[in-house]
Amino acid sequence: MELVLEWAPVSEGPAIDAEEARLVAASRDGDQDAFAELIDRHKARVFRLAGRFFLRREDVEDVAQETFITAWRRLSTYAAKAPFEHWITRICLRVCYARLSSERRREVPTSSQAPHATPNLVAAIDLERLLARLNPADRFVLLLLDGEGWSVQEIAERIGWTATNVKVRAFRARRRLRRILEERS
Amino acid sequence: MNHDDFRRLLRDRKAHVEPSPHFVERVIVNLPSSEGLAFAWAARRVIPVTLALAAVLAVAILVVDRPAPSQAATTTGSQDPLEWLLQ
Repeated sequence: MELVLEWAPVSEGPAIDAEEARLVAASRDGDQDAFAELIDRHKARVFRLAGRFFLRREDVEDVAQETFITAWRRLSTYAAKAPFEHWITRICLRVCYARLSSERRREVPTSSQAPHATPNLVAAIDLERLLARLNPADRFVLLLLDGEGWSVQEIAERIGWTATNVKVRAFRARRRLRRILEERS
Repeated sequence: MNHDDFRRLLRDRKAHVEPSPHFVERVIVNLPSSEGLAFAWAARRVIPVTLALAAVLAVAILVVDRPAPSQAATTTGSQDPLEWLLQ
């Protein structure tokens, strides 16, 4: 199943604040200092989101860097009807998905690469083995639904899919996961 | 592992990576220049239009150069219609 993230307009939300609007406008005019300020404001959010999909520091940094470079390239398409953070979140998700898809074969992490927050190392590595058997689209949807805890509606808004599309993808992903879990038991 | 275990583990699965001190500077250094962006924009917008215009011109030239059927019949015929004047 091929998953395509469209560059659909970001749904409208609270208006962008005046200072951020000034930074965006200056960045559009090529002001790199203004863009640096925008990066500084949003880097924590981007790192946190990328850290949901990738566990290695270099992967997270690469995703974050690519996210901001893509934002710089596409600043002219940002309509400023929704907060900048919604727009940058969508770009980050797009970059994460592209990177997940380009991984030819997922490597199961060693103990040193397992998530620090998980007290049970064996379970953490087992989880990685399970995720490795899912295709990128399934992993992507499940990490947002069950990992990040977003609702179907939130995913739909932040990625630009319809809610129905998200539901269908989530249903398929969970069905595949259930099959894998049954095979293992 | 059951589905509930999977969800619980997935919630905890995240890398706690903080941006490195020079992250912003590194991104700024790697930004494409505005000239490069302008060139890329021009390439995307201008080249297709140029190619379309060239195609239209090529077709127009072919149409204009092709002799009209009646004219072609008279000039390629075995007899010159003005031949009687020379005789």
